[in-house]
Amino acid sequence: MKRIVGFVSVAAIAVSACGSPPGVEARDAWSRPVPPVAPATAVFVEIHNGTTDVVTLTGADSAACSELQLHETALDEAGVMSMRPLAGLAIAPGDKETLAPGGIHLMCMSPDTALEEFAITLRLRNAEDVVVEVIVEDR
Amino acid sequence: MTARRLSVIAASVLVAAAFAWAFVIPNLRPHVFHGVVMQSLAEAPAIDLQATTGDLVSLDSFSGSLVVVYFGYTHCPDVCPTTLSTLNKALSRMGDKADDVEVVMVTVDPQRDTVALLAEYMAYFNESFIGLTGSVEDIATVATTYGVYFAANEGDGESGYTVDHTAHLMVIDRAGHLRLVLPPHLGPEEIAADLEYLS
Ligand SMILES: [Cu+2]
Repeated sequence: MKRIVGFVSVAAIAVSACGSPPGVEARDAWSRPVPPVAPATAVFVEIHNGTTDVVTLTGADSAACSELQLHETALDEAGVMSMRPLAGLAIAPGDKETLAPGGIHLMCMSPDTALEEFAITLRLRNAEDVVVEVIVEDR
Repeated sequence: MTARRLSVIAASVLVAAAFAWAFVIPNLRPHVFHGVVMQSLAEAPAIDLQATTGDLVSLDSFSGSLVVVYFGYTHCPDVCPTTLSTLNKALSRMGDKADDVEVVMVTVDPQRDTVALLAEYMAYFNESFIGLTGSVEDIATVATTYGVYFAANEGDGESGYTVDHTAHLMVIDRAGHLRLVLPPHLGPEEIAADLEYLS
């Protein structure tokens, strides 16, 4: 019996050492460099939902922004661009959502444009907050 | 004729064809625009607005240059900076040919976009980029003549209001004709190719 317990605990360690424990992971967060006078900037990120539940992104916080809201940009057939607040972005279990230019972004108000990198905390429904480092670069 | 000789001939024919395909044919082919070409060569509608350079600007001030006109605003965090950054990359690809391309952004948010704010905003993307502003009425007049739509939305809290606007780029050729409309998704290579052809 002792032997079996030993085996089980080794297996548990092996799983947790695998790097990605089942959870929500944010990757490749970036933001375009904008002029110091820019009233706002957009933050983009890829969010992977490794849980077995639907997880919803509702917004974020950062010391580098006075406010960080979830927005959606839409382009209609006539080429008219519009931007609206989004209440939440649902991510299915095992799925990922990519916030990218021309689509969904986190809108950082009064950004600290002197920074080359800053941390944001993603607010999620059904999962713990996730902190991710945003790289400021021109893509 | 030996099989060996035949294969040598076949190989050289292939090489010649590949050469033609890669170097000769592209130069014979007419330029295919990435943007939408205006079929009737109408004179570009007048623009009389306040420039970030401090002067009143009319389209005549740019005569002889290729003018790229964009309608946007500084509170726009996504599409506007992306477009201005893409235009800057397009111009750097063009080398000397970029010297007489004027990039102009007409603000669709004159209430918040002061001359000083616009000036600093535009210069950040490229020293030569010019911002234009004026009264809401004057901007509406210019926008309408270019077929550009804009409308402010109710805002919420600190983020304030947003402005819906046409995101196309209008290209006015050296003769002052509205020649080309570039849709917002084009990349720097495509924009540079079209502008180079017109320059
Ligand atoms: Cu936004």
